[in-house]
Amino acid sequence: MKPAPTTLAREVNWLGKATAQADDQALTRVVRMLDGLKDRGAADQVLALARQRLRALRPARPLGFMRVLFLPLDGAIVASTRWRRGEPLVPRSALAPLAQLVEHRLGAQATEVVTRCEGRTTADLGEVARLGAMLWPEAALALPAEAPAGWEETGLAASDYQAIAALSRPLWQQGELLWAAMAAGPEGPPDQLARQALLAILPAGPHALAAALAALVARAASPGQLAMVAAQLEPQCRAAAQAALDRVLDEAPPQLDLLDLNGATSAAAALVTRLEDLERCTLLHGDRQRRLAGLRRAADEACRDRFLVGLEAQVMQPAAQLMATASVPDAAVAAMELGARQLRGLEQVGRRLGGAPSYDKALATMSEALARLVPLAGDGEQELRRMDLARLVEILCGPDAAMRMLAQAG
Amino acid sequence: MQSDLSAVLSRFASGRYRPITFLERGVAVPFTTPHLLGGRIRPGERRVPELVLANPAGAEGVYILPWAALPDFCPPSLHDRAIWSRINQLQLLTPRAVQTVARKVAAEGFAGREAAAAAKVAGGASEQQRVLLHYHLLLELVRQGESAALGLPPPERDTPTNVELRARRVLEGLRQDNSLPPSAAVDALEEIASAFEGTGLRGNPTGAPLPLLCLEIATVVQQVMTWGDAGSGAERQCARLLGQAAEVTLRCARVALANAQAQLEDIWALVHRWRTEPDSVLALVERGEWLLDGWRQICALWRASPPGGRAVAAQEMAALVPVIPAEVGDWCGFDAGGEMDATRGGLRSWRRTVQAHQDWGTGRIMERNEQLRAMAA
Repeated sequence: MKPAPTTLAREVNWLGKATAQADDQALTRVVRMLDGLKDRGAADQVLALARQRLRALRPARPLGFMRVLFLPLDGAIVASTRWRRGEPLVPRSALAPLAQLVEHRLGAQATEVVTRCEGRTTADLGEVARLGAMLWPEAALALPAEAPAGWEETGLAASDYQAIAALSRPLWQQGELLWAAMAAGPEGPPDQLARQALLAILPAGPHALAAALAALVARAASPGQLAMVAAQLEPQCRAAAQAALDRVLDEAPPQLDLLDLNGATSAAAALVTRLEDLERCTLLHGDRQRRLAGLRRAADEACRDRFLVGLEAQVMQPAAQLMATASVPDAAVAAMELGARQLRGLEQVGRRLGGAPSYDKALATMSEALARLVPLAGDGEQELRRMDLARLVEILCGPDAAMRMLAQAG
Repeated sequence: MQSDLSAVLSRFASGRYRPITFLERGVAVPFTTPHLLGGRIRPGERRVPELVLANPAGAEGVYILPWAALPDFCPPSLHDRAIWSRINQLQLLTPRAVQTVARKVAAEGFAGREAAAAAKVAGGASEQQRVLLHYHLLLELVRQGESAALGLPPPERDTPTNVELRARRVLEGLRQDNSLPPSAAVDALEEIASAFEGTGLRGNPTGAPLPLLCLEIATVVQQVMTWGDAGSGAERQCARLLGQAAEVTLRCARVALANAQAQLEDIWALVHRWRTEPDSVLALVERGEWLLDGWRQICALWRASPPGGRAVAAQEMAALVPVIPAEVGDWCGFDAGGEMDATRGGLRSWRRTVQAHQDWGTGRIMERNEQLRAMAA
């Protein structure tokens, strides 16, 4: 017996919240499992609450017809509840019907795409480019002028179909160029690639340009530079460029508290790169500058909080626990050292966001606390050794601090 | 930091680096501090030790700094500081002496628990190797000196107690005057076993480390070549040059090990020479250790690299290939130093054409270098 709709909604909501709070590895496993479902059903609702973390984690997702089809519109896709008429956005509820429509119309060609997607993920940028070259231009031609039968099940009006189709067509037509620039996002993207893609989409009008910019900005390591490239295309592009920057400035900083240390460091490092780029962007003035400063402050605080929590959980608590343990396994010490190294990485990134005195203070406090443990530590095979404690200080504060600690302890 | 360090180091640049002797080349020190990787110690003028560092940019020449100045230009890790101060106290600089110090430091946990455990295992293996070698020397002595007319079983089938008794009888029989009582000869054999710990016997029945290192170099280089064949033109070139460097080294090593092991063909004569001129015996035995000094770390670099990090490992390996001093040409039968110079020149040119790898944080390199300590204990 199927659960009643209200029960299902409650369960999906509960599952979504649990997924959003899960650790990185669990979240990645859940995503992999949901991605593997033939019928996704409520899977997207479950993932909706974790989407912000997924953006930070960026796990490789399995390629499928629908995912490849909509990659050029990546930045324009929003939850149906956030979609507003007249905005250059595509509601998530429209994706499946559009994909089914295109797949049906392309026939054997679509089947080939489906076959070639098997076993591949979004990490395979080259294969995405090859599949996209085959699919996107044909998809642009395949969309009918009028809404297909059953469109009303999306909860959208027939006129919405036309707007969404009008937005999708030019992005698919220029999908190859757009994807080339999107895939090169971690390198900027380079001005030349971005300019080429945007110039190709420009004749399709401001909505298409805004959607393309949104897709590019979402993956760009240098969104500010990208916006400046866009603003220089034509005078009227400046507004679209600033709107794209507004979306970046509206983004909440990654939830570092929910990411593991490696994930938090990667997310923080990516954010630092973006912030430093935005600070060089001449399109940001007045209120936008203030919002940017606010974003930096929030990121700085998130980073410092994550560092302090990590320091306690990965170093201080385990060290204290191991002091009281009769037989200390090498693996436990190795885990502490790994945590200390990851924290060092996070701290180095965090200092670029500001708050250096806070890190200095936290590390000094940690050193003092570990120094207090040194006289209690032994040198026996089974014990937590003085050298183990000294190495933690060395990893986090440097060899000179470790030498001082050992010297003070005699 | 990198540019600051380069500025400081530039005062110590030595344009031409063509060591004549192994001692002038220096002994490889297994540092863990990233900037010190591949560093060597050598006695300088008036035997004041010096630190020899390869040019990090891949240019010809090295930096030669006073050993005492090491902490002034680069904060060494706890591990390196301990090695630095203890090596400074060595009376005689040899690869084995430095290895002994490095193992002790690692065993104390300065490079982490994994390296400590590996150092202890390696130390135990050395001890075992000496005992085993001593026993094989006794077997060899019995084979060489015992009359077949006695009708005794082959010594390798006899009990250890009997083998020692038979060896003592052989020594007694060979003794023609009062100069070398059997007990002294047995003691000398123990010392010889210790000296030959690295080279071992012909065929390496005891699993001595240097012949095994030769096999390891050959295996690693084979893997490097396979990697190079499947890679880009630059990677292929690097693999080829590393292969050439290994080949020259292994050719010399084969000669060095064969010469050293040949001394064991007449154990009685060797015992006599050991008593009268031990330095000449040691000079032959130590050639292999000097020649292969530094290659353990090169192999470990490859072993420690993940599949996606082979190109980076090859870059680092290229920087560490040791020069072969001119003295090797005197005994190996070909211009090994010249051939290695040409190969190293190729590796330098190659390194200048590829982009230096820079995305490793210092902490991660240190972690990797500590892993090398565990792998090459």
